[in-house]
Amino acid sequence: MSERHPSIQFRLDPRSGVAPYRQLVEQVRLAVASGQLRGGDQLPSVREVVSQITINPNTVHRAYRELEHEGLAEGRPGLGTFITPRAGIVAGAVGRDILIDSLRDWMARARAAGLDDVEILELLGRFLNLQRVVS
Amino acid sequence: MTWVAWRQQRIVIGLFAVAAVLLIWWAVSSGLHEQSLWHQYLGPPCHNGRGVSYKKLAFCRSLYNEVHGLLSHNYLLSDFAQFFGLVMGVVLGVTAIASELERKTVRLAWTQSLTRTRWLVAKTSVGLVSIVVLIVPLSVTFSWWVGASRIGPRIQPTAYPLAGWLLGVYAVSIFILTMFLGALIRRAGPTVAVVVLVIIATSLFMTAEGRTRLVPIHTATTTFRTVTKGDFSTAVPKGGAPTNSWILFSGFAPIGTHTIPGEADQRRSDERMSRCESTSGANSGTVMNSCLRREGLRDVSFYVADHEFWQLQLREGGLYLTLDLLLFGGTVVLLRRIRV
Amino acid sequence: MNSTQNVLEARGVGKRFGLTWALRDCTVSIPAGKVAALVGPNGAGKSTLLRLAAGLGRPNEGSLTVLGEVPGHENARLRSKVGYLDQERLLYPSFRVGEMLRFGKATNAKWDERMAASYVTQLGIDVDARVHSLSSGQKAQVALTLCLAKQPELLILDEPAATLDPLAREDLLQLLMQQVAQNGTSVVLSTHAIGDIVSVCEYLIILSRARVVLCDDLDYVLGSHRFLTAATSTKSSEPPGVTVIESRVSSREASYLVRMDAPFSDAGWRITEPTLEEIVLAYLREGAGRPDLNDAAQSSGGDGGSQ
Repeated sequence: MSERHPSIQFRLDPRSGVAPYRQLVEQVRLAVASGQLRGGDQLPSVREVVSQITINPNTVHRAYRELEHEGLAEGRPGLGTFITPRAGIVAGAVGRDILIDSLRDWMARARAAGLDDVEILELLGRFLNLQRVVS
Repeated sequence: MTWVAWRQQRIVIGLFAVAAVLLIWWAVSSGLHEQSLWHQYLGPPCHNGRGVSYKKLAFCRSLYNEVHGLLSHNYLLSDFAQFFGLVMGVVLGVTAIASELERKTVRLAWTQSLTRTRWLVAKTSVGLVSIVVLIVPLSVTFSWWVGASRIGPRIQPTAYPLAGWLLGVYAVSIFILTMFLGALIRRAGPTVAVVVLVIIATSLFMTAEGRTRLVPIHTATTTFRTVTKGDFSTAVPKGGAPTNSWILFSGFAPIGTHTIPGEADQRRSDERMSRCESTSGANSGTVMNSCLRREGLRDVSFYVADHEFWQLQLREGGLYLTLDLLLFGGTVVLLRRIRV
Repeated sequence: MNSTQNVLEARGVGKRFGLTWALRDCTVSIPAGKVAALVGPNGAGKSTLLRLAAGLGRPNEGSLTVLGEVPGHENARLRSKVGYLDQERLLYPSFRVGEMLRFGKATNAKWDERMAASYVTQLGIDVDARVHSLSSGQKAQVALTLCLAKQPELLILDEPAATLDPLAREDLLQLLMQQVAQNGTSVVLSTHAIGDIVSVCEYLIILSRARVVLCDDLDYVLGSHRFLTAATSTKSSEPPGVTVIESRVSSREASYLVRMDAPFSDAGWRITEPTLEEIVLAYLREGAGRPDLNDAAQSSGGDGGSQ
């Protein structure tokens, strides 16, 4: 497997107020959610990360442990750290939370516009039917 | 570390090597030249200025002037030779210790995994070896040159430092002293100043007092005989110190004096003799002798003999080298206590 | 390498030059395997402490151990495990870079020749160039390479990135982090730049006027320090149960930078997170002359710490 192109290019903003290890975790999560990283992809080794950005290696270790803890990555001894197959779902789970939040928003606006439950369901059904007809 | 010490000083050592070669070339060429001049003057027709025929007077006089005119050149060369060793000792010593301490580059060496003593030993050995390698040929050359140029008897102060092994001993001692003072003073400029003062003081002391205490002092009495040529007669001295001695005092002193008379005593003796000479008429050996007898004086020379030359050199050199060992030990102690 | 041992332990260390105390009552414990930052204004005693740790002098008071041993001029073995980089990045100006590396080899028991050469090539420095012709950034890198090729357990760096332009600083810190990644070397460095601390260091020590005012894990420092703000009309005294580092009281608003060692329960305060810079500055401004703040935390409650 070619190491020449790292699977992700990290960036560190020392002034953002966010702890460095958290910044790395967030960047991986974003990459998975956007599809840039997929299950089975290898994260750059600690040494590679250190050569990308000037960061303490312990910080990278910490970020990778956090990713393992969240289920986004898994460490394979002797090989490296890899994105788990479930990562998409985990990241997707996060993505679904975002969808639910925006649905809640829409619901509030629908109610404010005066729609009741029946009208909302009808609206949804028409939308889904349309979708089925189209596909 | 020995390589490092060498690398740090190699340019300085190289310059001194060039200077040594130039000095040797100068000494050899001028020595050979003077040797041949003297050979000429001593042999016929001039015979060292005795019994010169009237015809050859002008020739011999010009030869004499030539040979004696080289005296200031000889003093210059001998000064260079002595300075060479001293300057080399000072420069090597200062660049080894004082300037590194002043510029704090010691912090680099002293935070590596070698002890300060090993560091000092490396620097010292490089310095010592360089000095010995350069000064041995220089010493050999100048020991020969002292004879060839006839700058003076080898036991006399003008020639004495050049002959024997003292050129090397001086250079080594100054080197060790400069390192010691560098460790004490820790600044290059003041260290050089103090070393220069020490050199001046020591050489004055040794010439005036110190050296004369290292070997026995001999005495010799001079008596006078009358020499008459026509109606001209004069008192000619006979006896006295050998010509190749280092004469410490020559003059009138009361009979039985065993030490060199002080200035006041000298003046008194001179006055008594001159009063005596004037009343009875000088220029006669018998008159001189009778005056001396009447005043209870004798014409005496206190001198250091030439055959004591090597004993004096070894004792003086040994004294310095012993001091050097102590100074080196002192340097080790000083360096260990320095907080940079 | 014993990873549970502290790389540096100072207890009540004092160092005097003539009549002035450069360090006084300095107590610091730096754990192994970390990159620790020593922060403080000029003259605070940072260089003095680092030089004592490197074995260039002995403390006048107190005790100091590095890697479990006492540093000193005769402890050459300890110096083979400790790499020291002076503030002035001392090198021999007339030497070539290759000769400086040879110097390192000649004066150290352990020396990785290939690593040294590869670092120099990686940095793009000509091995035949003379040291005096290098830029200050390159000099710093060569001096750092000398330390790294010794394969030390501990690196002591006195302002390694000071006076370097941003690019040179990045390169230097890169080189350092590579070494840490590869060998797990512990590092103690002194610095002015807070930005370096955040991305590179994990342990923070603040020195102010020859005394240690803070010595702790960086995450803990960031996690435990907060600004507590309230209107002066509602809160007339200091917040309870916390150690006040610095207070700013005006006629309308009172703002306290505090360290919380326990959950804070007093209501009516607006809590904000300070930046590391604000924390450090507060300690530097208020730190001089204060009793040891670690002790003050033991006696909590009431007047909120002695002042």
